[in-house]
Amino acid sequence: MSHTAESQPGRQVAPPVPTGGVWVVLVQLGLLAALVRLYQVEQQRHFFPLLCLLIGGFAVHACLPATRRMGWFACLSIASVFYILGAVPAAWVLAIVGCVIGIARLPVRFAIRASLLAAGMLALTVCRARFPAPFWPVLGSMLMFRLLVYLGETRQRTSPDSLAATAAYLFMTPNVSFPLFPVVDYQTFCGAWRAGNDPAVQQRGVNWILRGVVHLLLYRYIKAYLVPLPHELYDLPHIALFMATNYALYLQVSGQFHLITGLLHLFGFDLPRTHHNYFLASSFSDIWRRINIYWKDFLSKFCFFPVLYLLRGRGASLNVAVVTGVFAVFVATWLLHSWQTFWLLGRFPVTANDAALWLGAGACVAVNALWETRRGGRRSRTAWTAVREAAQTVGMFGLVSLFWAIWTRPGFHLIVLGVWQRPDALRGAAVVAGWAAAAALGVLFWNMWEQRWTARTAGRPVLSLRDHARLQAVALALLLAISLPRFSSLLGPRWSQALADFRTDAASRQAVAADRLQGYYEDLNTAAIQAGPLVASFSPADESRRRLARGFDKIARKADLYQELELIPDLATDLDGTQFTTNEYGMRDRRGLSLFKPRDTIRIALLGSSIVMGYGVTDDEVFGRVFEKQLNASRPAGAPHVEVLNFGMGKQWATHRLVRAQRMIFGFDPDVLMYVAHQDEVATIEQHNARLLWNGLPLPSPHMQAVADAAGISADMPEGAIASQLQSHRVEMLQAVYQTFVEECRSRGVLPVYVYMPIPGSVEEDPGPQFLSLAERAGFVTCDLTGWATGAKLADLFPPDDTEHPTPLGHRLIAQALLQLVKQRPELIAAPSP
Amino acid sequence: MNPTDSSPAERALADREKTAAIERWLTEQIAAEAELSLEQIDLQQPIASYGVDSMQVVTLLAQLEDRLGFRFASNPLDEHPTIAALAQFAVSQTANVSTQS
Repeated sequence: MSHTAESQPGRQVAPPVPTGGVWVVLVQLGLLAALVRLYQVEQQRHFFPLLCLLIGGFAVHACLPATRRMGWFACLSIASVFYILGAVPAAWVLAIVGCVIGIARLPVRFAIRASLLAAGMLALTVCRARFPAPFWPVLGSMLMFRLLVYLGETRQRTSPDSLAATAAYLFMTPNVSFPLFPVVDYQTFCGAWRAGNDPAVQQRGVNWILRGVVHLLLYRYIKAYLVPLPHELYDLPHIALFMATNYALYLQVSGQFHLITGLLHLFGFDLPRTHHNYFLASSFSDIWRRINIYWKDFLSKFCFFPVLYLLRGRGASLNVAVVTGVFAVFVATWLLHSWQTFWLLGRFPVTANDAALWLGAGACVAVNALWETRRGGRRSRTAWTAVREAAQTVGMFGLVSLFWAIWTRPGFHLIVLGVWQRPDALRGAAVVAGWAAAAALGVLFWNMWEQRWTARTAGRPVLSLRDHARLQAVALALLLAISLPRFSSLLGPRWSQALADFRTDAASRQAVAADRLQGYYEDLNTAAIQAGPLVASFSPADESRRRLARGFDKIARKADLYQELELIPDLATDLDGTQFTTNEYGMRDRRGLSLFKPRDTIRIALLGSSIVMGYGVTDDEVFGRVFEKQLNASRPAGAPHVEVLNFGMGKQWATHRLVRAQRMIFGFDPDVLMYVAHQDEVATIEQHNARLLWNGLPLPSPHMQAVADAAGISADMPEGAIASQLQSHRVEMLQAVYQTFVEECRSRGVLPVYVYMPIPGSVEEDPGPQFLSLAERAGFVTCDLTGWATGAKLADLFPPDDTEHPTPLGHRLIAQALLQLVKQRPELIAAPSP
Repeated sequence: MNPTDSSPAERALADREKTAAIERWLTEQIAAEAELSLEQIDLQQPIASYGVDSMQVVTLLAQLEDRLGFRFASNPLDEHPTIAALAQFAVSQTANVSTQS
């Protein structure tokens, strides 16, 4: 176990904070919550709503008598499960963990309790594998290790401990939001608990939460801006940069663990640190004792020491016992990582790559441990040892980075071998050596400073706890102020946009989309926390997206890579209370349409997004249908009938639509192809085309292929690299799509009409003029429907929880705007020439 | 002197002396490992709280075993985490071993 200077009894004596300490803590927590909200920290895990609940819970906790506090924490932990997951999944979690607690506390022999619990876990494991349910990651995270710890540590007890402590330990908030949770030891959990208000512990909690937020923001920055792209790994400096930044992504885990333990401190659990300057480890044993310390303690207690003393008891030498114990720990680490993956993600990966890596790491730690047991821990402090330690630290960072790269990115060693076999393999070696030397110098200075600081502050902190808290509150307030959009807008559009992207994690999402990142912890952190209705209602946009996804699951099915999704033909269903019907061609249109255009009929093929498709309104309310009806009603007697065919489809963009036109629309012999565009015209265009190219499929037109060639795309590039390359050619790609549309239309005598119809309410700069210009240059007849909703209230145009799909009123307004348009420009629906 | 030959009071005194000696030795070792002064070591604090890791613990316990001439059956720090408790436990184990032999 490792304690930091903060918690080491001999190193620092925190002076008591006078009354009002809780208020100072509350102020800091409020500022931290605002930062979490502003920077959307752990948003996908619903951290902000949970943090608000826990701050409220802390305020109550601070006012309660000491005897009630453990019970309050247990209740709060259970309440947080209901709050985040919603009633039904939380009831499952409560029922199952409740049963487990009941069995664990039965007044029977340990062997019987253990057998019953083992049978229960087996049954749960089978259920986890067979029946998907949203609560499994949370439930699994509560039981997969802590149950074993609880059983092991209560084995010797003759009388059961308090029910509140047991419930608090197993439900332990904030586990509900963080399935990747540190393995808190039960003995430590109970032993570290301070029933009274201890301001030093509470302030440490705030410090750790802040440290967690900083780790997570650093992680975001590294992920979005520093990790090199796969295609950039062609020389030593980029490979070294990749290794270092890839390892640095572990900041996400240390950030989460700091948040978790920080929150636990608020409720009196004076737990030791989970991580301690792990980038500064100077040996294999050192990294093992600095990184994920709870995991090391867990395995020391339940694996290393039992194996060691078992072997010692049978006459084995200390060396043999230590080496075997260390190996046992690493085998357990390997298999338990798979066990964790199973509960969080539902699969149990066992790969030779992982086995080789963990056993290799075990061998290194075993040799190191053996050496340390012989040498002992004492070292004389000389200038030479300081330099050597700094060099060792940099070397160890390199080795751990290499291990991490091979572990998290299978095939990395092949990249390194490929570079090594090049004639200029050592190009850039001097740069890497320079980085290493600079890093060693940095470590040297850091170590010297740390030693002096520790010696100076031993027993007498520079600031009193109260001054520290106040200073931190001021710093947090300043940080919050300069992070606000109002301030960042003063920095100019470029910086303002960059800060906005950072706040919303937009760049990271792009990095993930470009397949730049993968790995064990990245994977584990994808374990979904499905919010219940209460939390979902705080974030209507997110909930709307989730509902939309569920809606599309109902009406669409997977198609080939060009289309990706298509409407299920001949479908008649209820979609969020609206009637949704498709015809035999998979169009949101009437059944019985003929491929052959009837005589004296003008056909308009309407092509576009989910708005054109009519998501959220019933069949007769879709604007295409309304437009057709009103248009025919307004036409003079004897004029040709107008048919508006709806080829709208959601979750599709320009390239999808081009293929839809090529495959389907022209078969209906339309006279007019009306392409409806919104602000999201270039969304995903590079990703979709990258997927096609990576899969060896030709792009739908020579113009598009020419753009890809000009962007330097080659057949051997990974998909993420292709997408990244294409990202700077999005506009050219869109232009190529438009040009192809026009050429295809003209070759068939179809009039290509481009209608720009922005979705109101967006605060971003309107890209309409750029799109219209592109379309016009491509040869479209362009129409600008900006202002179609003028005079209407946004609240009437869109449902309360959806900002994209208009209400029936919105559809009527679009139809009116189109009607107005064709009245002003009758050439748009001129009768076809005979 | 055979322990069984002495009176209970003498045995208690001897045990206290042994315990104190082990406490002193443990304090010195831990202070050296954790790079702390002897005054900073509290006999009632868990040994783990001084920042010594599992490998240092293994070495320390192995040295203690060698000094006392017996082996622990399991990690004694699980049940006796402080210097005082460990020393007391070690002395009781020594007595058991002596009685058995």
